[in-house]
Amino acid sequence: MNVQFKKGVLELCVLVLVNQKDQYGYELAQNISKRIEVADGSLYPLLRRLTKEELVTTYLRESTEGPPRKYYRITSKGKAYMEELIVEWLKFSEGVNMLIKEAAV
Amino acid sequence: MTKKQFISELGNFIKKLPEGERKEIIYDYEEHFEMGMAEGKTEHEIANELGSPKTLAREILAQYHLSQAQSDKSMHNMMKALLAIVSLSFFNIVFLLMPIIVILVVYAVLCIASFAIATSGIGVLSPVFLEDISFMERLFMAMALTGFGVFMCIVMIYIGKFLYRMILNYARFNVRIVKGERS
Repeated sequence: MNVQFKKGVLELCVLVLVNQKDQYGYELAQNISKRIEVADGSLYPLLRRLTKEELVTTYLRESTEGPPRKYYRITSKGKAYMEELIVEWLKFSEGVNMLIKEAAV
Repeated sequence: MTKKQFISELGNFIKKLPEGERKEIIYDYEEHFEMGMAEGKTEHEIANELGSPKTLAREILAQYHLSQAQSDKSMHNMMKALLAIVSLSFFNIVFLLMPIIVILVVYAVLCIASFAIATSGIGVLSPVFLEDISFMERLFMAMALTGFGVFMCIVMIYIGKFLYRMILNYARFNVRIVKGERS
């Protein structure tokens, strides 16, 4: 699938995942690549942008193995934005599905 | 590609960023490698999953220059941001730069015209032009031209500031388009 197209959707995926529970970068990458094929690397620039735009915040938490991990938590601004994106996404994907169905008839 | 290769290549591509920012970025990728290796993946596998350092660096640089152009307004920062965005994909050269170039050329012509009108007032004072008018008429024309020219120059400064903001918004809009988002 088109790379740029996927990147746009990546933002929505990240917000949905951190809304479910606070997660660290690697965990997010794993959870996303379970479902969609993306370059894990572009997740980090995206997370930095979301942090700068105050849609998520970060905090460090010690882990039993290795160095402390950087966790991401969604903000109320992030939640509102996520809800907007979900509505847009549903409208968009339903529209595309309808078009495909109609064309197949 | 090994972890060391990946990190040094990425570090090289983004070496123009301030040190603090660069360290934070590198730290994220190092952490990613550590965790992947703790899960038993090889460095090679992890680097593959991350994607090419060059592509990543382009994304990081575009984002950085854009936020610079927003916080520290200068033509230099704006040009850097535009170039960084253009490097994201060829598509942008046509769609991002053409309208901006047209607008900037029109703006430059208007600036030159305003300046020319402002200075032409002095020229009118010289008896070489319009030989059959009196000195008072000449003086009046000179004052009118200079006044109008200066007024135009001031207007152009305001339009310049406005254009800067417009181009910035336009660039941000383009980044969103490239990322497939809606603004």
